[in-house]
Formats: sequence, C-alpha cells, structure tokens
Amino acid sequence: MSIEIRQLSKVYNPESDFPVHAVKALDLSIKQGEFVAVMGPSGSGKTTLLNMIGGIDSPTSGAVCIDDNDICLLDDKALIAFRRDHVGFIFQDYSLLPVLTALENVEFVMQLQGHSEQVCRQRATELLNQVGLTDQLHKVPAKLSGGQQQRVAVARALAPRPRFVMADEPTANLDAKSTSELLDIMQQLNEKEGTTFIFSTHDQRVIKRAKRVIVFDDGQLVEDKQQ
Amino acid sequence: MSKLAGVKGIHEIAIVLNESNNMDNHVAKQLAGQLSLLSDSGNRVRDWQQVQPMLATIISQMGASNAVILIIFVSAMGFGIVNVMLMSVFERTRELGMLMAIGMVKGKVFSLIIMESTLLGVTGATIGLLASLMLVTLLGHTGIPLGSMAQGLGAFGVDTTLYPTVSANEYVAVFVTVVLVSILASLYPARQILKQRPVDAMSHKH
Repeated sequence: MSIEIRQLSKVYNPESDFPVHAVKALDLSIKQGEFVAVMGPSGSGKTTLLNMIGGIDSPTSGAVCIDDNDICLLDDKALIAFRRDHVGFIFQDYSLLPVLTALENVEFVMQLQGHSEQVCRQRATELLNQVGLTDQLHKVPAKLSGGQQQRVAVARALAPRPRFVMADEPTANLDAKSTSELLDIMQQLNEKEGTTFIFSTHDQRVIKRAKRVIVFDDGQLVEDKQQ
Repeated sequence: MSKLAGVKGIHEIAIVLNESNNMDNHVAKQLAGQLSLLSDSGNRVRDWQQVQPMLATIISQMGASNAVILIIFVSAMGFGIVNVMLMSVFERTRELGMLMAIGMVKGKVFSLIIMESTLLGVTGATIGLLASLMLVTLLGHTGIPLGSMAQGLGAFGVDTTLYPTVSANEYVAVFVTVVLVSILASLYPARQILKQRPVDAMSHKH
C-alpha cells in the first residue's frame, strides 16, 4: 500500500484578505514500510500534511492516493472506515480517553472495528507488553507518566493493524530516555510488522533515527533524502 | 357575651363540613339552600366563601399563582440544565474529535453524547428528587413556622405553621422534565461537533 500525493495544496481562510498557504502544490510518494520523518520549522505545514494523508483534514486541491484511490473523493462514511482500518494516529498530546485504562484505550479502537472482546483483550495486552507497559495495563492515563502515555498511544495506533501510522511530534513532550525507548519500539514494529511510520518533527533525535527525511518549509518540499 | 352584644339566644350556628377542601363548595351551597327554605325569613344562611370573600378569592387564585411560580422555577432549572449540558459536551470537543479521527462513526458519537446526557439528567434528577423528598418529609413533620406573618394569616383561618407536601405526580413531572431538558440541551452541541472535521474538533480550545 503506497501513498501518492499529487499537487496537494491547503489554503486556510481562502476567502479572506490574508489566506494562509499551508501546503503548496506538493508531489510526494511514500512506499509501504518506510520510516519517514517530515521535518521543518513550526508553521511549515508538517502537521497539515500529516492530517491530510491521514484523512482527518481535507485539501483545498490535489489528491492523496492510497493504492491509486484518492481518499479526498471518499464520502464521510468511507473516510471514517479508511481511518479506522488503515491509519493509526499518535498525537502530540497523546489524546487518550481519560476514563479508560491503558488496556481499555488500546482495546477501544479494535472494538470499533468489530473484533470480539477476547481478540481485543489479547492483542491489546500483547501490544502493551511490547511497548513495556506490562505492569501498567489497568492504570488510567492520569496515573501514567508522559512517556508511558505516549507508549499507550503507540499501542493504540498499532492495535487495528494499520498500514500507516501518522505521528505528530510524538516526542515533543518526552525526555531523552523516553524518546529513545519510544523510537526503539516504533522502529522494531516498523521492521517486524512492515507498518509505515510518518512523523512530523523537528526533534533531531527522531530525525537521526529516520530512514528517510523530508524537509518541509513554507508549505513546500525543500529536501528529500534517504539515510 | 349576650349582654355585650345586646342579643338573646343563639345568633350564629357554624356547620363544619367534611368536604373542607372542596373549592366548588357544592355541598355547602346545597345545604345553605335547604337551610334557607327551612329557617325563618329573618335568618341568613351563608357558606364560608360569602362570610370570608377575600380568603375565598386568595384561595381560588392560589392555583394560578402556584403555576406561575412553578413555571419560573422550572424555566430557571431548565436554563441551568442547558448550561451544564452545553458545558459538558463542548468541553469534550477535543475528545469527541479524537474519537472521530480514530474511526468512530458519527452516529455512534451522537448516541454517545445523548446517552451521557440522559444518564447525567437521570442521575441529577434522582439525587435532586431524593434530597427534595427527604426535606419535604422532614418539614412535613416539623412544619415551617410562619413567624410574624402568622398573626395576619391567622385572621384568615390559615394555620400558623405550614406543612409542605409534594404529590407523586409532581415528582414524576419534575423527573421527566429534567431528563427531557437534558436530552434536548445536548442536541445542539452534538450537532455542532458532528458538523466539524475531526482536525477542527481536535484543535478546539476550552
């Protein structure tokens, strides 16, 4: 499953006197199993790009094709199904459900896919073990550290076996140790399960570990290099 | 008394009927009519409403004034509930946006909001009504002394201590109203959130 981005543009407030061109006529191709870091200064359009690839934001023009199917043309229902089944999201602020335990947070996304309780429990436990939270399964997010919450978010993103994981500045709130551990986990999962990881970041620790770095500035691709 | 009034014999006979709550005064009027026919022409037979027309007017207007007060209280309660519901849904806009982002269909998000609002309404109404039941029961035993007002009201034959009662129908009406208002109040914020794209809902600040 590959991602083909064709002439993708996003303009905020297009009708106003001061429209903001967040992404400008971008062409980009990302293959299945890549470990990509999208870097650039704040306001360069990294998050907007990730949101459009993940189908939670719509472009002003252009296309985001997943295996030649333009997700921008999907109706609301189909787009929700696409996100649920093919995309995992890791948000900067973790965005875990505060009333659910770590285990329940991970199970929840699989329940949306209609898996049985037993399957959800087994996979969620397995993933939380993988991210090193074996002893924290039944704790609510408020009882976990920032690094642990981000690990739960990683497990949640991977639970529905997505093709792509979009991570918006996943290490922004983490210390060096937590960042290193989190990157280890994601790299292992990328190699083991072939899941495509796309990060938006300006964290050098993440950029060093990425296999491909896309440099973004003022809504345009400035550099695209393999590492 | 006879010397003071300058009259001899019986000058007034009061008949107390069991149907004292009957504001139609049907029995009293019937009885007054029959007694008028039987008694001498010099005697007058009057029901209590003719004896105390002011009190009769006050009591007959009490239903209307109670209804007005009830409407004011229910409206105030309704606005309070609407405020709580708007807050409880809007403050979770980010969370609901995240649910849509990870693939929860809008119908389910809508059901979630409505179910939560219903539960909040049912819980609030139950706690409120239980507290009210306890208070009314307590005051039903101890009564509410009217203090300085009692002397004036006493002249109208009103008890100087009030013993409040709330009927089962009124409890049911309040319960249903609270739950309905809770559900209705959550429809607007639910619609507003579902109209948004997940990314907009998630960027909501509260």
